[in-house]
Amino acid sequence: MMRKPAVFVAVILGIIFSAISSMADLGDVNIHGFISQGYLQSTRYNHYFAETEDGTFQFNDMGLNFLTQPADNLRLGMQFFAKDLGEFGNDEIVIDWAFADYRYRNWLGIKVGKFKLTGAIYNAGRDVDTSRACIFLPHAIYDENNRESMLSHKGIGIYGQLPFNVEYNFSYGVLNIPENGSVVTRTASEVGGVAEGVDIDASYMVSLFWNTPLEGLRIGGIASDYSILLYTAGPDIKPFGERYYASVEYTYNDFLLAAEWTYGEDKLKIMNNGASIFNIKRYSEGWYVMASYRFIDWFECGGYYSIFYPDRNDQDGTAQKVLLGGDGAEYWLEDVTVFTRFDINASWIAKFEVHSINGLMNIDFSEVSNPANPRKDSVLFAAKMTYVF
Amino acid sequence: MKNMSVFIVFVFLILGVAETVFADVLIIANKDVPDTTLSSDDVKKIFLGKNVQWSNNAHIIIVISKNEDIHKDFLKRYVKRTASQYKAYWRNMLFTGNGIEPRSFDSEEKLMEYVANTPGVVSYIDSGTVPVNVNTITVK
Repeated sequence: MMRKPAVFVAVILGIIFSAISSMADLGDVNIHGFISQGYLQSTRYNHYFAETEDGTFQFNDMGLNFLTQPADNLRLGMQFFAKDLGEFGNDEIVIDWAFADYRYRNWLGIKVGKFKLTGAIYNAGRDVDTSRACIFLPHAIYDENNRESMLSHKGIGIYGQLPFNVEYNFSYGVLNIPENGSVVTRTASEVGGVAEGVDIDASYMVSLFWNTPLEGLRIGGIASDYSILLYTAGPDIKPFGERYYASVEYTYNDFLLAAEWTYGEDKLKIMNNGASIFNIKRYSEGWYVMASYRFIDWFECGGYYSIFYPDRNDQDGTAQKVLLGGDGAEYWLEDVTVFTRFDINASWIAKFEVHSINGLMNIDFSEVSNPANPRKDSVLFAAKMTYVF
Repeated sequence: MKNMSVFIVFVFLILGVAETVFADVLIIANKDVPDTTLSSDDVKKIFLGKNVQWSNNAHIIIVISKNEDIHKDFLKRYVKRTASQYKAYWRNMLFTGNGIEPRSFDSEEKLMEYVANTPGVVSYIDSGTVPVNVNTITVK
């Protein structure tokens, strides 16, 4: 229902941007976009806070961007983006990125504005469905429920090429954490509250990637932090911490092999009138390995194994079960996925994938019919079609 | 263990079959481009938009050929990517705001005319084509 007004507003904003660039002599404006529509169906439980058990089409995204290069070293652009995934997104138009990028030298570029974070290998391009073969990236690193919050910074970034084929990125700014998004909503609900406001502290992300002498092999390391404060009718909630990643990607002709590992120190402070009344500190860990092969120009397939533990010291959830009840299976998520991609032509792409999921980490436990001994496994089928121009 | 060995042999067979013979391509640039020799690594970085300046700090503009055979051969030899990987790479750059897709040309005549008339441009043509009003770049 929101879609038509959303597209209308984006088109109007696009026309305005083009007109401004024309009046200000910003050069040629490149206009590109994409529209994706997906379908999700699961054998058990609702995944991604969507009605997947009944099957749902509440799974789409669309983007429209404008890019121009008014001077040799300067690029300006912005992208409008809307998505829907279950109860979140609802096709609300947001400015996905809007920034000025000045490339002083090959070794130094500066970005200011709102821009995508270059974190783990596929982080910046998570919204770019056409750039990969799978629909959902491995949740161990790319948890769909945290998608919008780890994607961009409003602030400043520097990047460039260093000797020995090393690429660096550093950014400092405010993470994009919407007040009505899944991170805020879920965090508040975990302590029985409803978020009434959010303050986001400035955070950093730094990454180094080395293109090794072995052709096609890249190795990288990433460090970042986060700190937000949620206001509820009751106590305030402050999640904060640090997160680290190690990445390796190898491509040989049409074959791709990638693996990434993450480790986090996740802290949560519950405060009443500024005074801390409860503190939790957990060490999370996850990793995945993924392989794919493009057999012919229009067909690629592959698979991945992904596992994540929100508390690496309590991988089967035993301690949490004693402390908070439940089954313990909420403390891991294991996913074996097989995916296919069909390039129908240069503009149309169709993808299909099947996830075999074990663990209840992202499941609303109130849905579980037998809390004393719940089924921990489920299968999720996803299909998505994308048009890009 | 036997199954694993068979699997490994199978993977290497696939990778081996994927090797093909390169056709020859010539790298050409506008006459004001100061660099006449590049390493193959430089060529790769330029066509991935990672290196954006020539040695005199002038801006690099890349243009590509729509001739499928020449494009594929150039990518395989210098950029170490397939055509689909290259397209996916630039779409990722485009939709993250990190780059604008290179302009492409149907015919070598039009491509060469554009290279000849636009400062800072670099591209490639079939080695059988005679370069006109452009510099050729040697790759070491």
